[in-house]
Amino acid sequence: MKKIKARISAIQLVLGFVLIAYSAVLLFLFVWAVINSFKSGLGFDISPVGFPNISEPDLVDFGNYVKAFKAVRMSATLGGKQYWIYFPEMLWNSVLYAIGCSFFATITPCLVAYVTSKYKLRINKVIYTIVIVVMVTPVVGSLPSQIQMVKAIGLFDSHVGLWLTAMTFLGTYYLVFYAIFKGLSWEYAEAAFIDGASHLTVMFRVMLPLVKNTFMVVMLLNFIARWNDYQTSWVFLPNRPTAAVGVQYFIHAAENKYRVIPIHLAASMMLLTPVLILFIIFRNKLVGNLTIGGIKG
Amino acid sequence: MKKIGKLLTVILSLVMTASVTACVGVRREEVGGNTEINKAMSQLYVSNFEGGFGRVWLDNAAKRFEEMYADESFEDGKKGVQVIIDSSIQGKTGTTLLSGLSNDTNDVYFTEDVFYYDLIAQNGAADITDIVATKDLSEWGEDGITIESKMDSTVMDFYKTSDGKYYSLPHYEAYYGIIYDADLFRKRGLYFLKGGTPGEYSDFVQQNNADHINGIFSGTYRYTTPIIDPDIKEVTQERSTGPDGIYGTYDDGLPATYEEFFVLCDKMKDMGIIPFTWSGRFTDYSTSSLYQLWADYEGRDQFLLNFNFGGTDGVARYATDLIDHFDSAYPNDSSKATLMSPVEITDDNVYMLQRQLGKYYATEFARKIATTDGYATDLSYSQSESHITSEGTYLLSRLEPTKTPIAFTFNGVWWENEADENGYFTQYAKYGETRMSRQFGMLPMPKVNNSLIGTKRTIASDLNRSQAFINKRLENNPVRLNLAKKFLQFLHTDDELQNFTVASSTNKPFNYSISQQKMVSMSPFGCDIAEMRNNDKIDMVYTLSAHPTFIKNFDKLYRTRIDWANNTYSRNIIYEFHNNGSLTVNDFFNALISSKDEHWLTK
Amino acid sequence: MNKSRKNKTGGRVGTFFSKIFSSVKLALYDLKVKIYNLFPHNKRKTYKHRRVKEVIFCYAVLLLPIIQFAIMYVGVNINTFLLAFRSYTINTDGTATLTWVGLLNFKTFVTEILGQPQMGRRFLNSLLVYGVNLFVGTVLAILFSYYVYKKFKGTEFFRVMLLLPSICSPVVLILIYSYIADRFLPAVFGVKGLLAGSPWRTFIWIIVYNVFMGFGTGVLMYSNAMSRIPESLVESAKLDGITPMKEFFKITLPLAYPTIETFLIVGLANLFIDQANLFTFYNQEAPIMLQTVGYYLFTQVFTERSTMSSFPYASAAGLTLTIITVPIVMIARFFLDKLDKGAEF
Repeated sequence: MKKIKARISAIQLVLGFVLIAYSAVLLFLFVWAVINSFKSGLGFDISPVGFPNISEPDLVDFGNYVKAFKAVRMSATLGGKQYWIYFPEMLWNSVLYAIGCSFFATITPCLVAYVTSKYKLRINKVIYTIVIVVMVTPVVGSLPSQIQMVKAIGLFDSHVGLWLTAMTFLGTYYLVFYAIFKGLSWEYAEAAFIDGASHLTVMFRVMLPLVKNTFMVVMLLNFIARWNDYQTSWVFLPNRPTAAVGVQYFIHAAENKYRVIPIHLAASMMLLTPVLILFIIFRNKLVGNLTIGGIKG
Repeated sequence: MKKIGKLLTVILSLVMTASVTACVGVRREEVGGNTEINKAMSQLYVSNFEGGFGRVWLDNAAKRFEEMYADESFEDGKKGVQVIIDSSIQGKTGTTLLSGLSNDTNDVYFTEDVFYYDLIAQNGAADITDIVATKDLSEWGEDGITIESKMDSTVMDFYKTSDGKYYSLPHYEAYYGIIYDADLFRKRGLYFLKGGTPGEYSDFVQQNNADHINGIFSGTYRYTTPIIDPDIKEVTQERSTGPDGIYGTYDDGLPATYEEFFVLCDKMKDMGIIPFTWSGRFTDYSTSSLYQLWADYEGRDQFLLNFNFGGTDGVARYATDLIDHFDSAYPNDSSKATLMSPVEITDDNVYMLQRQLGKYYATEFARKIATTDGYATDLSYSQSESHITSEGTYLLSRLEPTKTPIAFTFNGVWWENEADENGYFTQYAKYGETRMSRQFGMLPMPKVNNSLIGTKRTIASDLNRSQAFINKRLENNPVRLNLAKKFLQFLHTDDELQNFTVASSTNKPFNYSISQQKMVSMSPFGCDIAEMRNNDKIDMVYTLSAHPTFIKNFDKLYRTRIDWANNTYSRNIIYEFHNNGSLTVNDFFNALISSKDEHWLTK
Repeated sequence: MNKSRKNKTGGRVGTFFSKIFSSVKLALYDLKVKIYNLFPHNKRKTYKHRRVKEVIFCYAVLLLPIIQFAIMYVGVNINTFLLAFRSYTINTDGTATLTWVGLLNFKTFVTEILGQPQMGRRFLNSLLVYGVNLFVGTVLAILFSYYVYKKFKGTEFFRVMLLLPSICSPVVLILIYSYIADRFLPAVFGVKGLLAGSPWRTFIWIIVYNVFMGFGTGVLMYSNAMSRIPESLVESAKLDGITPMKEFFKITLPLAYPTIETFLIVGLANLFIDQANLFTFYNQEAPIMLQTVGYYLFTQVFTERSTMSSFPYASAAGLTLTIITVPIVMIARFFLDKLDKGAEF
């Protein structure tokens, strides 16, 4: 046993090196951004290399983060009045949008995949084919139609409306869940049926827990995608801007007086921080644990 | 256990966010800064695209409007007006703005990249025919003068629909060109010395030569009446005529021909000056600036053929300089190409205008810049250099000792205002120079050869499809509509047109001129632009027409589609030549003529 | 009533008590059946009854998603679909007419693909992006996933690092990347900016960015798939003396294959949709030599410079690309399925 454990394989060494190099480059990007976020516009224009020159007050600006925090704002019409929405509220909008939508966008394909993979229905093949065909269709120019549809239902510019639009079984994750459910033995369900459980109970208390890890992973991926998404949320929630919309807007198109690169870098770091903290704290809970799927837990 | 873990995660993150929010307070402010909506006044909501032309002009105009009407009642029980401005960049132009109009709560819009007839088709704009054509501006002291009467005839033909209505007004006279740093020219001796005959160049004026009577940037009329500033000391060196062929005018010492221009560029390189910089990310800037060389060569009548298709008045119009083929021995020399005999242009053969000679002279010019080492900064080819940062690069280059000075930049006429509103002049104030003190000018395009020196300077503007209109929604609200219309009229009074120019250093596409008093408060570049108004030395050509085929095919006919757009190469000629050293002007000619044929436009 | 099913217990455990237990259960079952058969029952009805309950349950679950699909996908896209067969003309009095033009838009697009070198270049670029993502990106992602799954040294740290780009906004990353590429590196090393050179050079560095920042999703999914491999299987293989290399190819890869296959298919399906982040790099002004098909179609429609007239063309182009992509994906799936050894655990 000890022999096997002590042998560091070639794979591990090579991959390890590559990963170290990768991490170094990535870290450098962020370190550079943070360092330069303390320069003034002039300081950055004179040179993007090196640390802020503290002896020259014109070239440094330690207030960039405060400026960014105050400046990241968008106008919104709520309750008939026009307001400026600032970064903290944007963060809240991001949370509602990202968590709500990712939950629905995960549970829906999960349940649909479960039903279509485990039960014999004529509609199974239909749904599977629909998913494939849809995945392959470049959806171009349907955005105006989508907006019209959502408005017609009366769900435009509301979080609930967006959650409902996220309740789709289309997409990769349907296939992922389908593959996993297909690979799961029906034994556990049968055991439960014998014990008198209903289909609903079996679904929620037996089969779904078996894919819990995948569920959490998919939900995390959906969450991340939505946290950073600025196109969908901007179009469908014009008056409830999320943090991603706010910062993207700020970097590219804010009012003219904020187009200073170091302030953009500060705003970028500002957007990154909450998710980074959450991610580092909860990385173990959310990234695949090494438990055996099924019999335990 | 895991379920609890998951629940905890969610709860914890929500708590964290909530506490952050609470800590700082959910700061929602009413728009309009810290001022509350004054219930005792009427409100007017204005949406502004805060691009190059910025918002300062609007902020100032709104204040003046509020002051003027502080005692007037627009609604029962209310007195005065409060103008609330929503000014930003994203979502304020193009189809994004158009598709959101029915839900947008603003009343008046200032925007660009909106095709006028799209706006009408989408029912986005209110009918403003009354304030444009019917009512005059007597309320502001301009009796008998309507907004329509101030419009250029080409613009008017385009904006007046076939049933005689107006739904929007052109907002700004936008065009691109080459900007030059006159301070650098003076300090480093980059002006050409007088040589005796037009088109001469013998040498360069000495460095730091005091301003001669011609070409003084002092905020006064420089085009027609040279003014002698008594503080300027005696000089011994006079400058060459420049492109207009006349001594004692604003363009003296500037390169008169292509040849002179590149001699100048070489001289700059020798002196450690980089001739050009431009935005590498938005390649449109360089291309659209080179477009002016084409327009300047063709002149009004020939250039407008591209848009009026020979016109609708029954008069036959001929294109007189269409290239038949290049001489294969001289693939980069348009002067050796064989021309066709004059061709009558109708909407059947618009595609033939791809062959206009002026376009290929401009292509040669571009090729020279793109293929000569050291003519442009590296950032001109970098994706990280946006239109904004390129202004900073240009402005800082002469001031900061560690940088190399740059003489020219490709940019739009709004560039100085844009740089100012983006804070560059403030940021660079530590060097002691300000927007009011720095001397820039819009370079009059050099002529192709000596024989063309003295031909009229022509500038082509497509107005950037800019619009000033009122939301159609307001037609259901007569009170607000009336207020909005009054605001639009106000902005088109002579005084306010001038104020726009003073604030933005750019012109509005209407007939007005800037008084000397107002000139004094403008930057030198602003004066340069302002003096182009009502100037018989400069022909401002608006590239619009009322020809039905033009309107039907508008998306194929604005500047970026008819300049160098083709099916083989990118339209951004500088990049094409820069990346492909063996590409010739002839290759571009072939690409252009093969990409458009008689089926190009829909009739 | 599930008495018709065989009574299975954990088959591996074959002890004496289990045998007794099953015999008793069988005897009781026989008794129950005998009692049951004493009464008249319509057997078919109970099966049908159960089946009906099953079907009701299934459709109850599927109801909302299907309605959502009908409205948000079918309903929305019918309009867009029809638009492909129309043309949008503007008249001088400001009205616009939608006229039926049949296959004209399709013809225009196909002619462009076959005739215009520019369009050909876009297709080439799309293929290149896909190719590099496949042969470099996916391969590396699988290898990195293996590293994470095996919990080799520094896994905790690397896991965060690999996923870090995915949790950052691409706008932010590209901002930093392009500044370092074109301003920092030239200032420090005197090289030409990475994104400022010839189109090929710039394109390479854009692809590098895409691959570099694109590991997160893949690593997460693949390592999760790998983590579902029963530890007991691996242990027993190790006891049999398997080398790490063999373990990777014989156990890890095959068992994680269904997930990998899914992502390969998705990547292929996205062939003509992938913008390679060009929009974030260049907004609407990407040089033609760098454009992909996905980027091109996107700028036709979603940008502020497009006009309504280009929508029909864009719809037709989208549909044409679908017609091209569907068979490619189906064929790929067919072959990829063949590779699947059908392992179940």
